Amino acid sequence: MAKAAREAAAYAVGALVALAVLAALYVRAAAMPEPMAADEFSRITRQLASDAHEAERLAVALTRSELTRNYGEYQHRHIGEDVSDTRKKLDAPGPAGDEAVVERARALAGRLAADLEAARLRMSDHDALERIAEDEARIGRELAAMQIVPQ
Amino acid sequence: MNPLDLFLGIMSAIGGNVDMGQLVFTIEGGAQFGYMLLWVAVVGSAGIILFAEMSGRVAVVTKKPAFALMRDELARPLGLAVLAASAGVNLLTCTANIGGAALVLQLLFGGEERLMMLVAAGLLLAALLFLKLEPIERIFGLLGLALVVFCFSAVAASPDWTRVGSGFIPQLPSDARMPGLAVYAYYVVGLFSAILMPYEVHFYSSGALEQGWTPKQMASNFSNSVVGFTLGGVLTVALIVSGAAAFFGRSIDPHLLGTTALPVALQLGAKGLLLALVGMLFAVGGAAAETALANGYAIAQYFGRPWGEGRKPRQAPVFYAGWIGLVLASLAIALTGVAPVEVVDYSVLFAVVVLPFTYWPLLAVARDRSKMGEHANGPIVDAFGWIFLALITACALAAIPLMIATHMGRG
Repeated sequence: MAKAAREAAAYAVGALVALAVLAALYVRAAAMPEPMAADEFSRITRQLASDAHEAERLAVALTRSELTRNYGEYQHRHIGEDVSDTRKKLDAPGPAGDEAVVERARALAGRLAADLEAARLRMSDHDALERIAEDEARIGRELAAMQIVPQ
Repeated sequence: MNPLDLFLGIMSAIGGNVDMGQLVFTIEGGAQFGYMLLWVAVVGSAGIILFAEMSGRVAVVTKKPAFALMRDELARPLGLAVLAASAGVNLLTCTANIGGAALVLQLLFGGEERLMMLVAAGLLLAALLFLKLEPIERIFGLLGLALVVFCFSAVAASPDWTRVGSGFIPQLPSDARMPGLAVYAYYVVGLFSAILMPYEVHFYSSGALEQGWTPKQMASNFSNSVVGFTLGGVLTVALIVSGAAAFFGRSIDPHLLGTTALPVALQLGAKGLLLALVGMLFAVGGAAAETALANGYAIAQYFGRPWGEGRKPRQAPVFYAGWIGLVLASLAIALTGVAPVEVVDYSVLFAVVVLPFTYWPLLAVARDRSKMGEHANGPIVDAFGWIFLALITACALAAIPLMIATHMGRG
């Protein structure tokens, strides 16, 4: 009796798990194109603004000889990779009426990636680093202020 | 007791107290919430002191390490589930620490990422195979002490000491620059769990038995856990203050491990940066060693097989397979290119779910006079034990929902 009850419970649990997996697969397979949600856009721009501000601090620290070569190279390369990964998330369609904001964020992300690469290649050129740091600060401020209206 | 042994034991406990989880959650927490998480460092440090001392005392009196207690105190299916969950958390933690050590090697010496992972794992295997437990603890612990540079960096940043002081009083975030309450709760749970990681007591109690502690060394157990983990808590506070002073209110979310060292560079320059990186290397390397050994201890102890660094591989095959297998599996995962900082988020949050099952059997035995005799918990230690167990259980219940609701703390 107890064995039969355990078997029945095991079948029931198995069936529920299978149903849950099928439901999750269906939701994923049947997903329709949707505009980017406002909170997702905020997360992306916050991340990019953080990368921009960190890049600015790194560039300023390099002009003051506060960083070693390996540290500076590693941080610039990896923040650059992070910016590239985050920028891909902006490829989703922007919400109606806010396409220009999303497009502007894409452009700023591209400019930030270029600044990071330039800084990595010119880590001993203090004048260039100062100019790059100023641009990164501007990008960071603009990204941090960006938002789209929830639909 | 030899005073040099006592000094070295305490120093090792300080340096060996900080791992990837603490580095990540303290600096990120300081960046997001300023000094508001300082109270968590105090509460968490009190918790680890309480349970580390208890685990050493129980191990010395009963001659049973943490997982043997768990086998005896929990029903077999639950015990096996906890063993499996602990092994999973050890795998994530060791992966994060090996990946972290490789990143710090890159920050110090440059080089290719995967090559540095192989170097880090190779050095770890060599250290664990060819050194005994005490030199391992001393080398990693003492060189990890270079992290003290974060204390100097925190002071050099000239923080607003009134605000620092108020951070030791629990309060809810009210500053407009801070994320919401759910993210705050996520960091509270994450930091608390990072300080109380279960492998620390598994390693501590097994280490006490490996080094042949007897009831005469209760003073050593007390001083190592109280003084060592208290000073380790000071390091945790310094990390939060450094993160807050460098990043709070500047829209920087330090999600790369290298960024953890940036506050030191900004305050103390390149030499300070090098010291911070050396400290981080040995802290995360030491944590990888402790996690690997804790896994070997857990599996061998649960199944009642011989264990210990002092035994040869053929005398304790399950123990050796447990830790060598963990290092190799962690290396394989790290080589896939997964980000160590993301792995550490998962390891810390999943660890908190296992915590009640780690600390409950310990508390049950430590308060049992029939097993512990005169060394059983007194009423005050017992009361704090229950309070912390309640806190840990609350964190365990909240961890996964908070992780999902806050997108891993990103709001």
